[in-house]
Amino acid sequence: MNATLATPAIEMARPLSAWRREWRHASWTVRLAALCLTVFYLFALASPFFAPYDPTFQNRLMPDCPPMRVHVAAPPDWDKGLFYTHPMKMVDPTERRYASDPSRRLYIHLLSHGHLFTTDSPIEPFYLMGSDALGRDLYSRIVYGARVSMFVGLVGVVISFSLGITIGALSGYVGGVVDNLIMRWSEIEMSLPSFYFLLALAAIIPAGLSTVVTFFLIVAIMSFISWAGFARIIRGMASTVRGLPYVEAARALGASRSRIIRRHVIPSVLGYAIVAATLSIPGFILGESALSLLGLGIQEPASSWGNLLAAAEDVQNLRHYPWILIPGIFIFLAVMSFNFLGDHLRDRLDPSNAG
Amino acid sequence: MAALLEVKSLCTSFFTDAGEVRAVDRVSFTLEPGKLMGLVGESGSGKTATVLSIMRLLPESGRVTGGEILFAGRDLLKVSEPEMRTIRGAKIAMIFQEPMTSLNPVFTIGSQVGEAIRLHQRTSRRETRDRVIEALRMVGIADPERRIGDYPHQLSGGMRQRVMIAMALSCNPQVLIADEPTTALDVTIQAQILELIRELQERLKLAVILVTHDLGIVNEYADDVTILYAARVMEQASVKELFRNPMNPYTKGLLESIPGIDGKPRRRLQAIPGAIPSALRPPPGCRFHPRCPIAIPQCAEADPPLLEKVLNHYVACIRV
Amino acid sequence: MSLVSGSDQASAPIAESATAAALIRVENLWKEFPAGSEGLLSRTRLTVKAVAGVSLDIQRGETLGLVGESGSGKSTLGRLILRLIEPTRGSVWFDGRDLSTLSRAGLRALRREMQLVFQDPYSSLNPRMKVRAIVGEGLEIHQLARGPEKEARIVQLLEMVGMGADAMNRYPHEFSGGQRQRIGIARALAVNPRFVVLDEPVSALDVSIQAQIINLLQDLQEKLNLTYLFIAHDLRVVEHISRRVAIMYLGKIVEIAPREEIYANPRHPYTRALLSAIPTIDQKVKSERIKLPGEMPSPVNPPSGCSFHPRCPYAEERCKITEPKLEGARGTHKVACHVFPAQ
Repeated sequence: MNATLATPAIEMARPLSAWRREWRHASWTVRLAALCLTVFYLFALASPFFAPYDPTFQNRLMPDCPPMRVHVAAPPDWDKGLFYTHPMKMVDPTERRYASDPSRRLYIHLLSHGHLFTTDSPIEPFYLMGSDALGRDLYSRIVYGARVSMFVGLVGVVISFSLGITIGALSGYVGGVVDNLIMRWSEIEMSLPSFYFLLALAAIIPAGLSTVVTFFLIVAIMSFISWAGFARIIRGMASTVRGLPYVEAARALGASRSRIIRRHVIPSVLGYAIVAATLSIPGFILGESALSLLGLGIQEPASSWGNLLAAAEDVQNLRHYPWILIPGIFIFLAVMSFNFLGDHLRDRLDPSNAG
Repeated sequence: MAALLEVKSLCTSFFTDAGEVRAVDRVSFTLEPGKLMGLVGESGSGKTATVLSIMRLLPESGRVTGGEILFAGRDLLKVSEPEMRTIRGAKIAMIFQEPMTSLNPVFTIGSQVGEAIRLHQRTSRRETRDRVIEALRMVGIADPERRIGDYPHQLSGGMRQRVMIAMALSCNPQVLIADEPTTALDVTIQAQILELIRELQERLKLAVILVTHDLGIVNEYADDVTILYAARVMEQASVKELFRNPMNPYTKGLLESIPGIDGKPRRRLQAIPGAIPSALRPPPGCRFHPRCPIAIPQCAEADPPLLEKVLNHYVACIRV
Repeated sequence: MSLVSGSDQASAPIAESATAAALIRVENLWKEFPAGSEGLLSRTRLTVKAVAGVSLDIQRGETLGLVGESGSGKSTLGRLILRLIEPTRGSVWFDGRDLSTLSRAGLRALRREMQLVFQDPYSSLNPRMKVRAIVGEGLEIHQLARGPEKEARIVQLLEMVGMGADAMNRYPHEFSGGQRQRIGIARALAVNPRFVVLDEPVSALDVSIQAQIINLLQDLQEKLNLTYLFIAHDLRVVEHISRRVAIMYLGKIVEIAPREEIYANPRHPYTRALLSAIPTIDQKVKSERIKLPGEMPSPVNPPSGCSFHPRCPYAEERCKITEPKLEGARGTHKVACHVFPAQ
């Protein structure tokens, strides 16, 4: 905006200080939410780094192993590793009960083998959050699962919101027959019982497809169901904005229709759209976990938070191995974080609150 | 005549995130039965906050921080809330600016006026109906027997304001507070409503506070006038006296900035320069001094007291 | 001041001589809005006749005041003249060009010449745009200036309306109502218009600020040789700023005359009622008020004959039957009334 006056240095400094200012405005819940989401997206973007092991590697010797405790090594032992754990050993194979061996130390190496932390071999593993019934490291699976769970919302929102904004703004600004047709169509979509619709569609997806393709198909299906409600809201806002005096002023100045939509209508609804987008991401995350629970989501051996949590559907399992609920905590944190962030954005994007 | 309502050094503040906003600052006036006082001010002058303080209807963030409001000898600020409810509406009634939103759209006007009556008096169904009809007739609604079944949306703005007046007067109050009752109405309707208020006031010996921003209305309908600016009283006098001999430079400025309708050749309007000060950070000393044409350095130092310059003519200005 | 009063004296010959000199010429303009149908199953479509056959001229450099109560169609007429809304029938000529014959692009180009200032200084400025972008929008659309030149022009415009250059990087909510109205005026003037419709530009402002804006508008008119259509519901302001005044009632102009004439010799009973209803600050003996019974009827179903007859204290039988035409014996003062025709 200010290109003629500002020196490059100031231009560079500006985004940083803007972030800092935002940070100062945020309450601690919002800061925590931002931190959580940053960590989760880092998980998703750099899963091999954050996960200590291959998420599909099955350690048949250690199924349903509980989380292990971390100990800090004494300074003289720091050349072997800063942290260590006592390795676990199965003491009762029928009940799958484990006991740690306090006489032995298993050192955890930080930043080695291209991982944030890992042990020398997956045969003698460190289970931060326990293992599943097949002896896979739950933490590694959660880290890899973030890829699906964190991006299902993002991709879904991009699809449904670009559909919603385009269709809604068009419908609202053009009006007339176009508006009528679009709105009737959206009503039909909204009156479908969406979950059953989703189930029916998910059932159509051929079984042999790769995880990535399945993932995108699920997201696409969910997006096509959820654009309608959003488009209706954008349409309502667009037609309100159309009647505002400042839009009339732009028309009086000779602004073209596309300029008005670009400069006035979309910026006016964008703030709301961003908030609504943020608040609708949890819906996608929960939708994915619901599908996974029914076995229609991401298929093993690939992981998502939803299909990891699906293991907890058996009360017996839950009683014996309560750590399998940990993916649920991640889902909960992600959903809450998006909600806090969305509410915060709503307050911040109101222009009279800015500054 | 003895004062019916006496406001003494009233202070009201709103407590916002940005800090304390002094909306009313040591405002005093007296109101006698059968008199109509104009309370004049621009936005932020504290005129509405003053009357809401009297009614004890301030929003959550507002609080009276000092002064007394004596009604028939009792301090309304010390009266309990249940007791205040017997005074509000029955003894001191109020009508608002927006007749559209002050009426409930889902009830007939008859039931709404009737409710106002039964809130304060035990009357039979029959009696209530008769009194509603009487009240509507009093405010000049033709054919009230038929009109009591109408819903607010079936009435025009002027008619709705008449219904509001009927509701306000249905319990024979002694004081009527009218907060910009005609701002939302057209000029010909405004004249009808103001004539009605004036006529009822004379007939029922009401004491009326008419809140307005229009000095023309005050000149034509009021007996006394209090001019507020940025929460402070600037000038107080009878209407005759004030318009003949305005003394405060703010009052003079206001009068000069109103275009006269006289068919005379156009002169340039004498505008008051500058903008209305922020209520959060009012200027020191006299609130008006930054915009005042005759200000001297001392004006910025101390708040001028409201002094009687001529008999019954009070002015807050050290320059007169 | 001298220029304004000078043109005042010249008003009569111009108005009388030729409409060719008129900057704006409105001929038999109508606008009907759909207002739903009578009942749920009824097929008869109702329409609101917001503007019902208006003809008028606006001379170069003059201010025509247009007064009416809410629902009189005055704002609609202003927007019809700017062709922000399409007339149902009738035509508007700007500087000899018929606006209805213009292409969309031609109309957009013409927007440079005609501008609009709004009543509400809050909703008429985009809250998400800085003052720089608001004032500069017209410059961008018509590519009048760019880069440092545009920057300088925006500063110049802001100074012209009495604002500092520091306003550029601020948002509308940081300003008071009066300042926002100044920004709105700067936006309108950015494209160098010749004609400006002022739609109740001071109604929403405090009394002490109104005079500032009125003075500003008069100064700008003098300096930039602007032609104004000043719409208001307040005869006081209109009477002050206008050279001629038109009174509108229920979509029609009932009286149009030079300013002094409207005051000294109002003919139409509605004009007289309006004049007498204004509360004044004058100390002279208050004149007897003409009380109008009732309120303006719905424009969906206007009364027969003269639409003012149900409220008119002088109404005769013929008023209920035939509609009076807006006529003037000497041309400058026209009245639409059977009982009190122009002299």
